[in-house]
Parts: sequence; C-alpha cells; structure tokens
Amino acid sequence: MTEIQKVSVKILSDAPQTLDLTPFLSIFGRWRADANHAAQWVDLADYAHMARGAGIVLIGHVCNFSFDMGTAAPGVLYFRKKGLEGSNQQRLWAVFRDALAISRCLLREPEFPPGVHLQTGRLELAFNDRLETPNTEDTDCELRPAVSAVLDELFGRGAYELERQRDPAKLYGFSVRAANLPAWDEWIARLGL
Amino acid sequence: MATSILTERDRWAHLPPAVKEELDVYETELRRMQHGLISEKVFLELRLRFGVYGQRQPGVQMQRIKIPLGMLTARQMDRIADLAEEYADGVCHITTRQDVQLHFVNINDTPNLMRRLAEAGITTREACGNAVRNVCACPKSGVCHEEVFDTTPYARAMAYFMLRHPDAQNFGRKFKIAFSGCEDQACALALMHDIGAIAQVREKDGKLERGFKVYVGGGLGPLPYQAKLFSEFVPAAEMLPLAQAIGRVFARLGEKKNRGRARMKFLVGQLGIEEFIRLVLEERQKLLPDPRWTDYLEAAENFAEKPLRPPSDLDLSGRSPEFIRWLRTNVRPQRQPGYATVTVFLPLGDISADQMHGLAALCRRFVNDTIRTTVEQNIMVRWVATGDLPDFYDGLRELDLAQTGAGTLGDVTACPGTDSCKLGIASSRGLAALLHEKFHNGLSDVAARTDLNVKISGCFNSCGQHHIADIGFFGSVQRKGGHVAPVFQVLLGGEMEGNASAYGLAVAKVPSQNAPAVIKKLSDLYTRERGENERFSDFVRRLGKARIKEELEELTVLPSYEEGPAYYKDNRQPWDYHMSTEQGECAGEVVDQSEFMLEDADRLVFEATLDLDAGRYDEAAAKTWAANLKAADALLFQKGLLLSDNYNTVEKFRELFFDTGEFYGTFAENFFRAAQEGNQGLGPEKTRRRVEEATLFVEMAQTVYSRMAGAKV
Repeated sequence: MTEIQKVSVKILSDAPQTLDLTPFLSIFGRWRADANHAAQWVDLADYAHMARGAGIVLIGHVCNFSFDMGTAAPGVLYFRKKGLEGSNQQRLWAVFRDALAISRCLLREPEFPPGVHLQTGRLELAFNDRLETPNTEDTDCELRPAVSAVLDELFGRGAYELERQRDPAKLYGFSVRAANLPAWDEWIARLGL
Repeated sequence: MATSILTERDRWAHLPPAVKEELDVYETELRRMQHGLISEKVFLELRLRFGVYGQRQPGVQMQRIKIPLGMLTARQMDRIADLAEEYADGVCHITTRQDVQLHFVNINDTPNLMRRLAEAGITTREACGNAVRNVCACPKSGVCHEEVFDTTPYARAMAYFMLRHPDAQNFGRKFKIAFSGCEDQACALALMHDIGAIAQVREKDGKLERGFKVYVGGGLGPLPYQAKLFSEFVPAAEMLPLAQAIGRVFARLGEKKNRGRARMKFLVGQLGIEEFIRLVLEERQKLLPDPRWTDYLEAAENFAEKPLRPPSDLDLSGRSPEFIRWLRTNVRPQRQPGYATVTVFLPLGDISADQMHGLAALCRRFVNDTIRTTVEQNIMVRWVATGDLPDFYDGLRELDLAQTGAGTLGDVTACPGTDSCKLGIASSRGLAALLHEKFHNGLSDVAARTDLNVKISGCFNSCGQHHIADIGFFGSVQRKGGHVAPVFQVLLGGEMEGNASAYGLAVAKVPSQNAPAVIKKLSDLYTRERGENERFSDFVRRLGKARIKEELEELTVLPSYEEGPAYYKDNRQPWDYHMSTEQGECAGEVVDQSEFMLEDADRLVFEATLDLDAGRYDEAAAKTWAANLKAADALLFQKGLLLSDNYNTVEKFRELFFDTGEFYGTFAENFFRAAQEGNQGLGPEKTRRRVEEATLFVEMAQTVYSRMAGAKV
C-alpha cells in the first residue's frame, strides 16, 4: 500500500498578488513561539520578496503553513510532512481537518488582512512525494477513491468538480472547484472541529 | 532497520554502482549514528561532505547541491525543483558559489534526495566540509567577448578530478578553486580563491599553447587575503597535477587545530610564497602519473556548445518600454553574432519550485541546456537567438521572472544570515529584502545604478562577499543600556573587477534599519562629487575614510531602547532582536582521515554480518577484506603514506606494523592469510571466521590508531 505522508492543501483566496505580507510576519512570529503546538514549529521563512513565491512560511517538523503567493492564486497552504496514520481516507481526512483548523486560527488573528477572504470552494490538493505517489494511473486508481470520499463529505456528493493534474512530471494532485461555496462555519462543522 | 534499508535500496539499482554504494554508505552511517553506533562528530563531517549542513533551527538541515561551474541542464533544474517541493519549503536558493541550496530539510530525507539528484547527474559530495568546494567559473565562458579562451572544459576537468580525490580528503579546512577567462572582469573572482586560474595563451614551437596564470592562497572570511601569484603560465596539461600537489602540501602542512587559521591562505602567508612554490613543485615531482591529467585536453581544445536555434536578428520596433528596460539590464550580446545571454534576476537568489519548472520548460524551447548559475545569485541562460528575445521575455513574464535590473545596484547579494545559518549575527536577507522593497518604493533611481554594487553578510565571515563590494555590509551587534541591537559594519572600496582585485575597509557601524539610508547617502555623495570616470573605489580612496565617516555620522547613532525600540528589531523581524549564535559547521569538525577510514572499516564489517546472516558468503568475505584494507590504510596514513601513491597495503603493513611489533601479531597474521586465500567460495563457516577476524583486526587498528594519535598530541 502507498505510504501517504506528504500532502498539501491550498485554500485559494481573493487576495491580490500585490498583497502586503507583513502581517503574517507578526502572526507567525507569535505562533512559532508555541512550543507545545502539534506542528512542532521550527521557525518562519520570509519569501515576501519573491513575485509569485512561497510568501511567509511557518515551518514545522510535522507541517508547514504559509500564506502562499504561488500555484493558481494567493491562499493559505498547509503542507503535511509526517505523522499520518490509518487508511488513505483517514489520512486525507486528517490533513483537511488540520488544514482547516489552522486556517481558522489564522482568520481569527486581528492582523489578518481585512478584505481578504478564503474561498472554500477553490482548493488545490497535491501529494508531495513522487517516489510514493508518482503522477500515474496506478496512483490515481489507488488514491482517487479516498480523495473523492473526503471531498464528498466536505462538499456533498456531486457538488464539486475535480480536475486532476495531467502533467506526469508534476505532483499527483487535483484542482477542486465547488459551485456553491460552503460557509466557513458549516465546513468546519463537517470536519467535527 | 537493516531489512528496510536493503529493500529501499533496490529501488536505486539503476544508479551507477560507485554512486549507489557511496550513497548507501551515507545512509548506513546516518542510521548507525541514529542508533548510537558511531559518534555524532564523525557523522557530522561525513554529512558535511555530502552537503548536509545543520541550520540554526534545531532538527532541520540545509542541503547544498554542488553545481560545478554553475552549469545546469533543464532536466537538472526540474529535478532540483521536484526536490524543493517535496523535501524543502518550495524554494531553491542560488548561492554566491554557484551552488543551489534547499532549506528546512529533514535529515531522514537526505539519502533519497541525493539519490534522486544522482539520477540527474548531480552530486552533493564535498559541497560542504573540509574539502574542495564547488569549482566556480565565469558564467559567460565560451560566449564572452573578452575571454582568452573558453575555460569550461578545464574547470570541469578540475572539478571532477578533485572530487573524491584521496589527496583532497584530509584538509584542515575548505578549499576553493575558480577559473576565469580573462584578467579584467569580475565574473569568477579568481583572486579570492585558494587556487585562482586565469586563462592565458603563449606561443610555443610556432603554435599557441593554452595555459593559466595561477594564483594561490586567496580567501575572504574575517581576514581577507589577496591570492599570491604562483606562476605566470602553467600549461593546461599541468593544471590538474599542480592542484593535486597543492592539495598534498596543504593537507600535510596546513593548520588542523586552530579553525581560525586553517585556510590555505594562512599557510601561504606563514611559509611565504617562494617557499610554498618550492614545496609544491617538489611535491609535483613525487606524483605518480595519472592519465586523467591530460585525457580531456584534446576534447577541451575543440569544446563548443551547440545552440538549439539558428542565429537571428532582433526587430525593436513596437516593443514595450518594459521589454526595452529588461533588454538593457538583463541581456548581453554574445561573441557569436545572433545570440545573447539572458540573466534571470532572482531577488535574494530565490526561485520557487514552480518558477524553476517553468524556466526549465522555457529553456527547452529556446536553448540547448546552456544554463548557468552566477556568483551574483542569478541564473544566466546562454545561446538565446536574438530574434527569440521577445518570446523569451514573454515566457519569463508569465513566470514572474522578467524583473529588470540584473547587474545594477538593486541586484543585491546576501548570504542566508540569521535566517538559517548558525553563525549569523544579523539578518542579511532581512536587509536585502528591505532594500528590495525600498528599491521599488522611493529608491528606484538608486537601484538602477550600474556603477555601484551592494553585498551583505550576516556576520564577519563574508559568505555574502562584502569585502569585494563597492558598498559592503556585515552583521554585528551593539549594546546600549540593557538592550542589544543588530547593526551593520559598512565597508567601502572593494572591487569585483579584475577578479576581485581589492578588498574594502570598514568605515562605520550603523543600526541595521539605517542601512538603506547609508546606501542612499553614499549614492548621492558619489553622484555629487565623483570625478570624471572615477570608479567608486577610487572615489572612496580620494575622499578618505574620515570624510566618509563624517558624512555617515548621523546614521551611526543608535538611540536608546526607550527612544527608538524599532532599532532593537532586525529588518523584517517584528520581534525584539536577541543575539544567538552557535559554533558554525562551515569549517566542519576536523576529523582525521584515518578516523574516517576506520569508521568505514567498521561499517564494512557490520555490512558483512548482514550478508553473512542472509547467506551471501562471497559478498560477506569481500567486505571483511575491504574492511581489513581500510583499517590497514588508516594506520599507514598515520605513517605518512598517501592512497594516491598506490603502495601495496599488505606489504607496507607488514613492514611498518607487523615487523616492528606495533600491531598484535596474531591479528596481523589473519590479515596476511586472508590476503593469500582470497574471498571466493569460502563457505559459511570460514566466512563467519573471516567476519570475526575482521572485527578483531579493525578493533585492534582502532586501538593502535588511538595510541598513535595520542602520541602525536
């Protein structure tokens, strides 16, 4: 069985590419001091100088969390690196649960840029491990059922479109687009948070 | 543990055997260290030699990827980008030595990371540690108007000849080599290297002969040294043996204990250049001939890159002002008509994995793997047909990589500083990022200057090469009351031109947040008072340190914490500054080569036990023999024998350790018997005995080594 450990979920936002990322320095600067957080924060990395770059990244041993300016559009990016257990579906569920939980914390921060909204119906999902999950049909056969099951729970069956990354050189992953944007609270509730 | 490693290794059976074995050894040693079977000190030097460098943040590593001469193919760019998005934080960082670095890497990912690089023909071997670091060369080699000849094949031959060379494994400190195609330009900075080679030709027997003007003993660091002239002309055929001889002299006589004085520049200084030359030439005479010294020369004479597309002209009519600006700063015509180099300006040397993938795709469309990183932390794409420039520019724009200003003041160089380096004192990247922001908001006139450059280091060690900048900064601290503030020393008057021909001197210390104002002030002063065609370094010398210090006086004032709490935060860090440095790994631990070899012997015995358990008797016996040889060579090294001398290990061991009674007789006799009997078809019982004998032989070698090393102290 494929050993999924490295998965990233990005929730796109309506922020402009010119968004000032300085507030995230303050927010993540405080967060990194929390020695008891399950993410085991290490430090933050400031890539605000890069056009369409990694933004401000809070690095952890278990996951990274950033306001990312690359791939598709600006948004919050949760990159799980280790610590996943159970079936593929359970692992994916855990990734979404933790990604949304930490995103909710970010949204509650007073410095979070006003006017920027996370778009719950626009997600990018990627499996960051070409050795374990190469972008092949075999991988797709094995992982798609788990992906669909988790997204069905989140959005409702048939309420979203799933477009797979077709370039075999790219990470195995999907763009997820839901026609009706779920309310943030409703979404969180579905994940049992 | 053993089973999972062996299964995982099957995945990599397609790698070249020597590379596969080297990386398998690395992984075995990593696991052995994690299980407490070898010391962290020995593993530290081993991982450094594979480019794995501990960051200041505990539990994460920086992986340095050696890119000889900065030469990259599109496939290699793709692979590095893959690894950045899987094992790091999605960013590839170009260094001031044309390497690529990935940050925040988990050590457990490093073996497969290296294997995947190996698939793309890249090694991280000797990227850090007390070894020959990445060989640098002008990124314009072969396409430059001023060069004497294309140094590419010679620099490459040097890089791969010195890589893993036994004579380059016992240095007290790192060793840096650079090749330049001409004397006047800045591209390769040859004079700040341990060996700096500058292309020359001379006439011999009616023919033009290629060779190099060779300088030795240069280096930056806290105490910068200009390299000394070794020879006006070293024929190309003599370059590799000369480097080998220099390496042997440095390994034998270089300082090993005092880290601060272990670079070769100190040895050259201590001996004097004449004596150093004499010793090297004497050593050269002792070398056994090596076909690699000259094998490449014929091909080198005829070396030429092939462009992907035919030469063409550029029609400028109707082009956008942005394109024209980009053309002016980032594009240079090549020596070959109809082609140009394009410099992709990377702020702070950073490019995202997505952008790297995109750039690789763009290069596939327009050029033929003719891509190089630069010491200014950019990427240069060569052989772009001039008529293709508008399409190439559009492609870069789509990737947000079409920023103008390559080679201007705005193209600031900075080391990682406190962002990740254990030695960092102030945030060099924070300052560079702040400058980047200000250059787009209010200081754009300053940023556009092409007659000034800025380089920033986070501490005095000069990884950001502040000594050779017109305006250099290095991080420091200043205490006021009970508070500590980050500050930068300002150095003025360095010169990159002429292969780093002059080093700057400190004129003032300024609070870190005043650094942009310092640049503005100096830029205005230079504009106002410069003489006709006067270079900044000459201008600084003419004005004098006292006058410039006076000009900067108001910017040197550090207010009290109560008056200006912002001064006690570093650039782009909203929290109060506190100084925290640790011992750096840049120098590596000094681990004697014998110690390495003994650890290797120990590992081989361990692997032999795994083979024995699995019923692979021939493999097990072969490994016990290899372990014995390693252990014996380790002791012979202590007697001054070098592996490259190709001595007979068994004979020499008998002469120097058995006959003298220095090694326990019975164990030595087992070794000699094994030499006679060979390793094939021994069967289970005899193989088991071989494993036991090898265990004892290696243990005894450890004991004898400890005694010898102790006696030396």
